[in-house]
Amino acid sequence: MREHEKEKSKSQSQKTILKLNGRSYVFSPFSIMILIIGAPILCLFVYFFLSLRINYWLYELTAKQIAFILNSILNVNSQVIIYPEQSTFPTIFIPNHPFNGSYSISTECIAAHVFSIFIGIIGCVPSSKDPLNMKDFKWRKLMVLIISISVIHILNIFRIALLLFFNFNGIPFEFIHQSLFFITAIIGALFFTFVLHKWLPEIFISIYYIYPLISQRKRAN
Amino acid sequence: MTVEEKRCKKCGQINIKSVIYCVNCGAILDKPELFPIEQGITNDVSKIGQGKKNASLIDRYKQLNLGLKVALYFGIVVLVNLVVSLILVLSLGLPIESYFLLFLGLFILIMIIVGVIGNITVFSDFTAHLAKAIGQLIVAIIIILIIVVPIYAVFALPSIIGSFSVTMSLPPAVEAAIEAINDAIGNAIANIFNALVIKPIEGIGRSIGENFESAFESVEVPGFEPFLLITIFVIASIFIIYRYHLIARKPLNI
Repeated sequence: MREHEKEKSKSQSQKTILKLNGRSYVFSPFSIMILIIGAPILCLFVYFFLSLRINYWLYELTAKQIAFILNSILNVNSQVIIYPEQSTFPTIFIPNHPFNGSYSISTECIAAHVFSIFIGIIGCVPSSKDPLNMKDFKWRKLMVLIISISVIHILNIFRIALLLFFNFNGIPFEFIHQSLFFITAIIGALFFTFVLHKWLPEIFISIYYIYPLISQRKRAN
Repeated sequence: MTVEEKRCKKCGQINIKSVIYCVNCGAILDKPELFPIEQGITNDVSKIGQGKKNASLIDRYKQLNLGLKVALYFGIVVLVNLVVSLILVLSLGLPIESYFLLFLGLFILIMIIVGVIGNITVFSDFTAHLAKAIGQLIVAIIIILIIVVPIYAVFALPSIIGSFSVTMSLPPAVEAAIEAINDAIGNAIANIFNALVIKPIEGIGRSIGENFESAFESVEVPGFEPFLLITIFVIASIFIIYRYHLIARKPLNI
């Protein structure tokens, strides 16, 4: 009976090692659960945090950067209007506009939903327990976070600048808004996937790790 | 040499007839008779394993190449999605113009469901799983009946008892008394149930809903844009994960 208990505890303590690209990966089931359940929750928290008025500076910064690009590169004489009570979003005003020349920079305009998705996913990526992978995991995470947020921010600013420029030149707002959004969403998603695959593959490997983990447990039972 | 003796062909030693091997050199004295080949049985080993005329669908699916497997999988997903979307449009009374949008919206969900069910079916003992699933379904139905029937009886009882007409020839006063007692009991049960269960749950749900809405009044709800980003990311992830599945070595135990 004691030998049977020893064997049972031994089988339960056996770890499943996944070998990929010359490296070994071992994840705990708890960390994978955190990724699956915690990532959407963290996304929501970040989105609501970015919607708060204390982050009004972010809206101002984005509006000013857009106005800078419009004035310096696209030669559109735009102005940023910032409201002191901070209950209204900052607006970009373009004089002599064929349509309505006033654009409000809202939560979607600063790509808050995209940032929240990126931060939620990157924040919950589990670390492999292999020492070689653990060594630089935090730096890789930080690097991926900085690169992805920077690139998406720049992409978003250029998207809005082009949107205002095309609208100023007569193209209807709804048409150009949807078209530009589709293009930037595809570019942003593919770029994010590429960055994760290059520097933080643990996110994909941890999801795939569920398969050998379950099959190993079934065989052990 | 007598009838009960035999000579070894190799060394010439005389052995007892019942002995199989020669006591001197060990050679076999009598070679065993070969079994005659029955009619119709062949010794052609190349046909071993191909004799199954009626291979199951799952075995045939496993022998398909990758492209056909993927095409079949998506074919099933599209077919199931067409049917589910049509059922939803007809049952919920949605306009027919929303069919395509509903089809697109349900595509990812049905892809996951068909994938999970398909993998369980193909890579596991299907019969055992089916039996287990049917058993669980029966247990679930029994539990639902145990919960639903009393609730139905509590709410429908007053109207059932009230409309039940007594065919016995009782005096009208007695009939009226029976009906009044039945109504009172039914109403009392319904009122208690309402007071103890339904109203508190409704109150809690209403307060949660109001607080939830008021907390997020100033938050701008994004449209479908995040879902487009997530969908593209998920599709790209699936390709990457499948590539890992192809190149991964078998997991080891330590």
